[in-house]
Amino acid sequence: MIKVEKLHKQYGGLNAVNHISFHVAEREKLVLLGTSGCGKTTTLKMINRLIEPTSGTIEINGKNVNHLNPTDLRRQIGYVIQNIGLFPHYTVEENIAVLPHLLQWNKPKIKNAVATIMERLQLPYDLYANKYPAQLSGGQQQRVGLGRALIAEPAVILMDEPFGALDPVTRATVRNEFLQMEEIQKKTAIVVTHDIQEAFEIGDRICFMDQGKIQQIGTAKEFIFHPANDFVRDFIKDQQFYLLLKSLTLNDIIHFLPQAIKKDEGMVIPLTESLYHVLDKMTSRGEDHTGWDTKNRINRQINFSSILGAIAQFKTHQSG
Amino acid sequence: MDNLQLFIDFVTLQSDKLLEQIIEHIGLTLISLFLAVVIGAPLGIFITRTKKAASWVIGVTSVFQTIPSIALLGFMIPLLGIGSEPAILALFLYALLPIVRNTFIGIEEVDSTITESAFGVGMSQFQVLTKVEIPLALPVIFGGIRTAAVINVGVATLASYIGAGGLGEFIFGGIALNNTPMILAGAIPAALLALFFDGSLAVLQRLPVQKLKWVAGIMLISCAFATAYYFWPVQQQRLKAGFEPEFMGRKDGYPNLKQVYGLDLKTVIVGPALMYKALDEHEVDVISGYSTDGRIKAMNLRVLEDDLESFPPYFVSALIRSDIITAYPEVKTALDMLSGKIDDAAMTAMNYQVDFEKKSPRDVATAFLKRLNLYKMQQGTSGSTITIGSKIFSEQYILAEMFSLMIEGNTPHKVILKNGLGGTKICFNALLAGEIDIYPEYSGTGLQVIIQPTDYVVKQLQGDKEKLFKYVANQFKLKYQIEWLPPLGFNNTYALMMREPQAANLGINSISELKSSL
Repeated sequence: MIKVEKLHKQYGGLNAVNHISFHVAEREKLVLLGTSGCGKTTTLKMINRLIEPTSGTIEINGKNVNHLNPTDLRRQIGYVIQNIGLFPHYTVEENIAVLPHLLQWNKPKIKNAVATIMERLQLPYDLYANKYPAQLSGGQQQRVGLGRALIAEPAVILMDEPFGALDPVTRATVRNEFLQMEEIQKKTAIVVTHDIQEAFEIGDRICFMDQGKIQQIGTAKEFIFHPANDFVRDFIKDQQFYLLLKSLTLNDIIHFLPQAIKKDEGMVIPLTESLYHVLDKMTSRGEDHTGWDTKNRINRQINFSSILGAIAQFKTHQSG
Repeated sequence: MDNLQLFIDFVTLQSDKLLEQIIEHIGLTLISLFLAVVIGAPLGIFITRTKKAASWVIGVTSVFQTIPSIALLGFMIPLLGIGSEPAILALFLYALLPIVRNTFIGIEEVDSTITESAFGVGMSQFQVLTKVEIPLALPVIFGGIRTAAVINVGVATLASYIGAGGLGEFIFGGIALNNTPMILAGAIPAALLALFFDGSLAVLQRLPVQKLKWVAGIMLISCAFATAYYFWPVQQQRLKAGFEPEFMGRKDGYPNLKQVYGLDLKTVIVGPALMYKALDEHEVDVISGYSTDGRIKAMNLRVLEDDLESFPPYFVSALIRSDIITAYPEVKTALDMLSGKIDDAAMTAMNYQVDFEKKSPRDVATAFLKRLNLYKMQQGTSGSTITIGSKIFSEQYILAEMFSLMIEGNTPHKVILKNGLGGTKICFNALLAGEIDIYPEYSGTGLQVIIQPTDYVVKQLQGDKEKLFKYVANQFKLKYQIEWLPPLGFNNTYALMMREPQAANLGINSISELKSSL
């Protein structure tokens, strides 16, 4: 879907982005992760040509973006940025309708599309359409920003620290809502963040950058079990356990869990659930569970000690 | 509240004229403002796109603001003549800086994430500018317009010096004629106008951006109409007169001329310092001057014969406060030596040397005194300090220098000169307040501007300059404790003048012939 080849950007003598290449598959969410100044934002902005590359090519659906008119290109790509960048002199409705106006849709179509997307974003049209951005909370503003990016149904969306302006609590909520939206799930997305947890939560794959170069690109599991170098290992060190729980599912460790003593006891948990969620649920309920899979008819003991034991065995197994 | 009553009377009596001046004043301000917006705002936008030009453009517009307004108006005469065009150009230049600067800053200060997301959503450069940057910069741009409007209301008062009208006519006329109600009739509306512009633009500035866009559009269109209206060509008389404010207002000036000759010229009011320049630049054809003026010869002007004797001749003398005479009688003795010593020809010649040959007034005065054997080296500076003032034209400068040389040569006192005081009222008030001790004055001016007697008294005195001088001297001593020393000798009278070639061409030698040529 998106193909980046030997992309390079030089500022003065500095290589902001240094000959990087990567692919993003259709519907995949790729996260560009790294500290500030690593080149992730520059890379993102070269994709919709807010920044022109020094050399290298970017193709979207086989078309070289440098052969397209930048304005037309950007109208086909959703774009969400950290400070949201809502137009303060436009109402919510006008903000969301900016692109349809530029594309000269007719009025009923615009209104219909705005109302639909606002409903999806849990911003009831009647309540919010005529409000100005300054009258909204941070989370609501972020949703309007998403609405503006999504209204023309772009196949690709680019997001630069999309939740960066929100407080941690709101941030987690909005992010979860975002990930569960059908509109998002069927899109190809490139998301820039400096937050490791966020990266692993959103990304199907993570592209970890430093000093303009890709240090490692891969899934969460690959990062944890096969870090490409010491730099990567060091970067994720403090988050190791969290990332492990987030990236592993019951399925991964199912063979290391002891068999249930009694069948069909406790609660049924889908095996695709991350270990983090499983432990989270158990913390709030405090009971043993049974992992249950209708297809394979597997019953396993699921409690704190069985999970921790299974993880240890899984790790040994991976490295062995 | 006698003054208040006088003010109300004046305003009631002159309400037509006042309304006309207010409209002219608003016209000057709005048109120049409109042009400054039309040119300054795009310029401000342009320099946000080409940063290299920014400091250059803002630098140049700042320089315009540092030029003293009266000097800028003076520069305009050779370019555009006199009247509203040069005044509008000068006001436009003043208004440019705040508008260019605020447009630049306003657009620069638009949050970069907002413009980035505008580009990101797929707006073109032009759409980002018109849909996002300009609307968001409007409150700041309005701030610039507000500043410019207030500056222009103030500077527009000076426009009356170059015949552009406006409330300056009352203000400067009032200063020249020692007429406080007249000054106030100009100054109060000017101040109110400034407050009105400031206040109403402040209200607009706080409007939400979407409404502000409409307001800005409506304002631009209405200003464009006002401009067109202002410049609509009007039928012009063949000869145009440029008179200074004092001549326009004094009973023995233009009003008397109208009465005696039935003369009705198309007149504009011009500052005394710019009047000759305007005549020389063919901007006006007739001006009011003095019979002894050196520029008559210097600029090849023809003095029109006052065949019906409408301008009474006046004596020239030193005005001196009585307390100075009491304290330093030797000063009076020194100045008395000049009594009757300067005749018309000598004064005209001296004015010519200063106006045309560009000699310094001090050299000219020294040479004259040497010829009369009145010149003496300075005695010393052991005595007190005497301050001598003068009005802002050559003859006054020369006489002030001459008084100074006589005092320094014949007394131990030191003299300080305060030259170029703006007009009769300023000189006289300075003398009264003790800021200056002596200045040269004309008996007719003393009568008409300071004493302002009834018509009956004026009639009694008319035609007898000796009697008039005595009357004025007595009144000054009684009312103000100021004395007139014996006249210097030459007569000074108002005169109408034209450029010699034009006058010869039209065959105009006298004011009567001027009247019949209209």
